[in-house]
Amino acid sequence: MSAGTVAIGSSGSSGVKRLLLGTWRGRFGIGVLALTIFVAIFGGLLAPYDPNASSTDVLASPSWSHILGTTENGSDVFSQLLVGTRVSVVVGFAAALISAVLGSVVGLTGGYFGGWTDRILDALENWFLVIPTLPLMIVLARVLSPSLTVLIAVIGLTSWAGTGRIVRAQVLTLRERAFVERARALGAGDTYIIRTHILPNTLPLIFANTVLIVAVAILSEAALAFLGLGDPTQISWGTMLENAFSSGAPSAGAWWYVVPPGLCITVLVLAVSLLGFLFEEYINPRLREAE
Amino acid sequence: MSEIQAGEVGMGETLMSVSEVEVHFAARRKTARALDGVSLDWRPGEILGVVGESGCGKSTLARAMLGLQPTAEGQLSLSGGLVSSKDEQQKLRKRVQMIFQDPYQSLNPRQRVATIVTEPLRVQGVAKEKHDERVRRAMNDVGLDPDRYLDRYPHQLSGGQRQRVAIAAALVLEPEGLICDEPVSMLDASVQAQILNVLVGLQKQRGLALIFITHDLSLAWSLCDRIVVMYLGRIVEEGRAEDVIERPQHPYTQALVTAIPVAVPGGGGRRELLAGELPDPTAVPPGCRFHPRCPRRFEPCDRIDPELLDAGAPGQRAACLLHDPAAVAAAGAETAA
Amino acid sequence: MSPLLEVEGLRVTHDGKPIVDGVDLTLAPGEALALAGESGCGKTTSALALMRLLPPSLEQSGVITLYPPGVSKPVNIGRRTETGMRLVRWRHISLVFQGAMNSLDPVQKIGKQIDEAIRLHERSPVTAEVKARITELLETVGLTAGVAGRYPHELSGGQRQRVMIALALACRPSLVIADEPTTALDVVIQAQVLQLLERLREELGLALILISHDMGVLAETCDRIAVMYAGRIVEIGTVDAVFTDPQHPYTKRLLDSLPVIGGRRGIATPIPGAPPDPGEPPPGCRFHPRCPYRRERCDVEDPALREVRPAHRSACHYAPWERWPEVEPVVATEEATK
Repeated sequence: MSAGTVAIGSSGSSGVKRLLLGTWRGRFGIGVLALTIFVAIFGGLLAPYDPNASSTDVLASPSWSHILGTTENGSDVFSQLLVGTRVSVVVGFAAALISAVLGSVVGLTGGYFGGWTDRILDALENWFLVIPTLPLMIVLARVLSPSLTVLIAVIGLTSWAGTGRIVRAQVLTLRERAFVERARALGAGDTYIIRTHILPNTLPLIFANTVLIVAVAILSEAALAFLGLGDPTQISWGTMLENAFSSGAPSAGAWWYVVPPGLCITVLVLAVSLLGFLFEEYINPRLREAE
Repeated sequence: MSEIQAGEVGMGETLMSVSEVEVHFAARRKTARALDGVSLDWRPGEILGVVGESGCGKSTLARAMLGLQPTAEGQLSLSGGLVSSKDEQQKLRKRVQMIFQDPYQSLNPRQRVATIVTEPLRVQGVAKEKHDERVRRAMNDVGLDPDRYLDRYPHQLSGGQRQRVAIAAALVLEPEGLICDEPVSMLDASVQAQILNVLVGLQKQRGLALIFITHDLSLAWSLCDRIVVMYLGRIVEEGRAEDVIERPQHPYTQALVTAIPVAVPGGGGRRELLAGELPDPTAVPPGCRFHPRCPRRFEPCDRIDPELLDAGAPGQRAACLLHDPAAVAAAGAETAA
Repeated sequence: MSPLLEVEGLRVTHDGKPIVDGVDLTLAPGEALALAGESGCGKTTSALALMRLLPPSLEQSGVITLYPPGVSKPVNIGRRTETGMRLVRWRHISLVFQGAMNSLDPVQKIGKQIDEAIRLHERSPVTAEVKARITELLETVGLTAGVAGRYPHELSGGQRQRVMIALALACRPSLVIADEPTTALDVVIQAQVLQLLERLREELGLALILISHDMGVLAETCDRIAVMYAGRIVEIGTVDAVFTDPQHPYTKRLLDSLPVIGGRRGIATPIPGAPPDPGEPPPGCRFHPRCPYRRERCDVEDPALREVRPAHRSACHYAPWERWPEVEPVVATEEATK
């Protein structure tokens, strides 16, 4: 039997490597992500100016001293862009992590134990799935005072339901698989079964889904910040956009203030989404064959 | 059903016995009685066949025996002692193991063979020093070279090899009984014979008792000591394999035997076949549950639920009014009065 | 009598590797031919090739000629266009495949689905006639006309399989290919379906190619049997001859492993190992690594399928076998193959 006909989990790291580096989508995704993370860590050191330092050179167009021009306060756009990367990345990954943990716990518990537990958790999931997320985020962010932690928590709390749904469905099928039944026949406890049989077979799915949520979280942060609900003390791509719009930069023709943060958000979300889709294909052989 | 059975069947000692077990499923506000009062003795070293059509309750019985399926009524006992506490159930699960039908589903795809076969030892808390030796022995017993196969993943194995791994995993705890739920029905003929050979070899060499759950009557006939035939959650006939299959006493068993395709040219011939299919288990017919399909039904069959009584050879019993003239007479008297 | 179907040198390859490696067959009108063998031996692939229904990744070659009754010109299946094939399928040859009973459209009534099958293959039939045909078809397969108004989920597995057979008969074909038609069914239902197939053959003069891994099913239903191994036919003859006097060691061992009620109980010595991949067959006779009767010649020389008894062909160097010698079983572990 060839290794090509295997379902979930027959993995091997070589498959992942081929997936990430063998396709243009994988190379693009990994490249952008690596660059973004590098900038998120070292952005402060790379920035040519203090991103908050104001000057009299207001809304200046790109030049040799300010390669992406200046803001309405005369700060350097390029420096803000570099420094702002950190917030976007931190919010994106932290919120996705919260969402993954919440979704997995709820999905696993509901799917594995069934009965009333499942019914209650399922109702909760449905509730979070159907309520419009952005208004909820706005309300939550408004009620709580804006800070980075609040932002992360709000995004994480409102985006776990999809993961919960997917995990639950996977657990429901795994629970009926004979190897789980066999472990139970051996007298294995629930914790053991979840740890050794259910979770390892669900992880790739959780992972793929979480990568997609990173993209959603980055967008949400930008959206909240754009609406003025971000952390005012932190520079992020979203707050940059908000400041640009509130200062009338677009109508003033200051494209260098609007396009760079917008483009960064788009490219990062695109890269992360591509990676998410790749993982999804990897764990779902049916999608893989379609290629 | 408390009377002492005749002949060899009376020989006391059992590995496991099931008495009056009932399993109910809720199905759209109705109750399906998947098992409706099943009693069974499984003796040490015995190969016991459980046969019947799909939906008759044979797999539910296996799951109930290992406590994988909650029972509404009835008791399980192990070597004569009632299994009632969690502790005793844990003990039962050490002494009786199970293998499943689909070898592609029964192994965790993310675990290596070594991990899969060691799992029972870890779960049951067997001392680590013993693991290696036990695993190697089990692998050898099922005809797989441990050095070559322990490092592989399930997807690198054929169906037959996977089923061998599943058997090895069941053997490491050195159980006294192994419940096999359709162990070969997904495998090819030549591979089937290999797996059966392994299982029967274990019974001969280790004195392992086997329960064979199968829809294949000729298979059950060829390797079981005793056979029970189930219909709609009940045992309708039991006895020595030769007696039950070659000289069936219950019309249902007779119908099943007639339906077996025979690998002798023209062997089928023109035969009477049972009409219809297994009824819905939420609506068990009154009286004898087989009467609507029975070619030999007569007047009181739709009123009296027959008991499992001696019929045919020693140790053979059938639940059919043809073998219970007393009940028929009593019913007749009742209608007359 | 002239044949209904002639197959010469049928080969199916995947990436240049054979899956079916030279199959020759003839089928008389009204005859039932059994195709036996283990999974991967090429029996389903051969059957699909007869209808040119193989997926595009597989390539088929060889000459398949159909002589439909009442049609003067024979049909060369290999050279038909795809549109031309559509006329042949269902009109002349139809298929009941494995697990077919789950392939009914769940949201359409049974009658509508049969109606569609008829309309797809016949130009503008009269509505009233089609209705009558549906009733007749359902009755032919032992169902009531009322079934036409029901949805698939309202029927049992056995009933759905009957509907599939009715569908296969919808355009009155002269050949039906049934691939494991009873595998998912219980014995009693299986026997009912087999009896139905037998009756249809008698009443409609239908020819049948029945594919099954169950030798019992084949013995009961068919006139002739072809046993396939690793992409080739290794033995072919009348069911009577093959079952009572097999001429190939593979058939012999396969039959030995079948329990025959009333005979000797117990497990027969199994054939060791697993069948080879037909794409990479062993040198010499394809069965030799698993054959208990092999000699030196078998390792190097590939035996041809030849007549060893009247109308009974076998691909074994040492056929005809007058008497099968007692053999020590080859060690029954997985090790024997690789």
